[in-house]
Amino acid sequence: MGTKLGDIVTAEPISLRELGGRIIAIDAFNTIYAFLASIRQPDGTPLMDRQGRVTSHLSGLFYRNLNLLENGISPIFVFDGEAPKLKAAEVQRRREIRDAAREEWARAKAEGRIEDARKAGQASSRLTSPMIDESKELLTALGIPVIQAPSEGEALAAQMTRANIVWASASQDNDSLLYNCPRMIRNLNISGRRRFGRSKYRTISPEIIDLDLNLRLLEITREQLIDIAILIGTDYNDKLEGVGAKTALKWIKQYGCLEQIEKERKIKLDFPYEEIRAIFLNPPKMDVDEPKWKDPDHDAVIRILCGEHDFSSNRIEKSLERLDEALKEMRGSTHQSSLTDYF
Amino acid sequence: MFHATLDSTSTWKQIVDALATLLTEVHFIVSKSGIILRQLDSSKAAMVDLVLPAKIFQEYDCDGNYDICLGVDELNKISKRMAGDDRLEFRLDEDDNRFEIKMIGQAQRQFKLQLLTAPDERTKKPSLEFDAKAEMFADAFKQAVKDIGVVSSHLRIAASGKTLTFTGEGDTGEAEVSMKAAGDESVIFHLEVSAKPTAMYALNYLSEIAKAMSTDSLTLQFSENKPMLLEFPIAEIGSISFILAPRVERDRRST
Repeated sequence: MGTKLGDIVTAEPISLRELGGRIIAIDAFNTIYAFLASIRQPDGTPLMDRQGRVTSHLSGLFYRNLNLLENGISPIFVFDGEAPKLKAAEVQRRREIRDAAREEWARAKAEGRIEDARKAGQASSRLTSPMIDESKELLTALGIPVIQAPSEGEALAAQMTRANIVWASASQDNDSLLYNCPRMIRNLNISGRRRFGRSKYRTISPEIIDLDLNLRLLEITREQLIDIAILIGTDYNDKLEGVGAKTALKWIKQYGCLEQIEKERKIKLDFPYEEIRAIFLNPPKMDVDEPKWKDPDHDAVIRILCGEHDFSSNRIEKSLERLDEALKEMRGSTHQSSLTDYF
Repeated sequence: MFHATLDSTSTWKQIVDALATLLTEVHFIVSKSGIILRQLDSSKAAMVDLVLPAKIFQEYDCDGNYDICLGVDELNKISKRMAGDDRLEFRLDEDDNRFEIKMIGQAQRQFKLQLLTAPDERTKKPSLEFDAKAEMFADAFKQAVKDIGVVSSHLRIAASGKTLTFTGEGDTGEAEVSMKAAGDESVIFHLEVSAKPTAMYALNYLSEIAKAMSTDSLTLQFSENKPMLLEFPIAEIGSISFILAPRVERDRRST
């Protein structure tokens, strides 16, 4: 998913506390997929209600947002709209991977290969429209604004960050940078202890990536960063065989742009890179109203989680009470803003 | 080559005192037209913006652009050694990477300070527009800051019509200071207000700044929940400004 720019991007760790008082746009699809992949039993079985419907995403959205709200963070969830046409191949590819993973998962589980089953289970995560609808419903019940993007959610989140409506955009996917997002946060929704392999854990904490700083460090323009991304593969084209982020960076610095690379290295890039550049450079724009947060609606949350999906009402009520306490304490309190917010 | 002289030690001391409120290292940018400095404090909540045109100095020779980066503590210690009627002489020793400060009075004293490495980046100035602008006696502002400090650690400013109001509230109670811009007796010489802005700022910054500044007047500008700008004149044609980010509501839920 997205672009593997990680190897050349510099990120700074930042704590949830430091993000207190900030408004953060969250890439909804990206986050919900992460919950679907990670909130599973050791053999890859997702959380389910009595009817066998998956509830991993609801559990993730509920507990994670409580954590953000209790830290004084104001989240906004941005949902993807219609994908650019060029994404069709990628969408198809993902569907095939998912279907294959689903079969492998069943096989591995039956044969008792737990570790393989877990991995395959994760890769088989599907996000259906009822799941999207109930995610929006749960967020609204928690008093969190939900925004529907015209196209890719990250493009709108980047635009909102540029317009200072939000402070940063949170996604696991570096495409935000290609969409000219000045500040992006990685690992906001998956921080904490994560399992790697059967019994290995690693602590993951949020990181902030500053676009201008990275462009300065890499000594390239954003247009060149987009060209690098295209070389190593985006959601809209396959990677160039044998080219990783570091090589792509070297080429772009040496030749300047994709056209020159084709000419100087005598290779043919057989994808419509002008069109792909345009996706990142001129995404559909949308006017966004001043977002508003509300008090969590206890009854609605309990109806969705406990009434519909069999979550323990005792646990959910306790969590909501804790949230109310934290929010009550915050009411009327202020935090010191940073001058950099006003540049 | 950079060389300048200054007849007034009080001007220099005022500059160093002002810089010391926010910074631990100072980064002067010296050019033909004068000396400027623009830096954020370490928490990025405040900025200091110093403009010293060459004409402030009695002699001023500079043939290029230089970054002069120094530790504030050292600068402060040296400025404490200055006598009231000393004449000051500044020189950049490029060969030895030293900044020289000479005090010429009954004795001639010279200090040489090791230059620190200048940061790569120059701080941008936020582009700000203000809804309220007040020119006032600096002392009236100082007193208001002290009054609010009795009960609170934050200060809320509001401007409307001809009135500027400072308020604060804490666990023990509330305080309010209001000033009217009317009549010859007013502590505010001039007040321009569009809309009815109100904003809150941390008092610890404001008290530090108020304590350090000994000018007669100041200009205060602010907007609704946006940064505040405090500008103090230095030797008539120079200025030192502080820009302070507001404290903002943590809770954004609409009631």
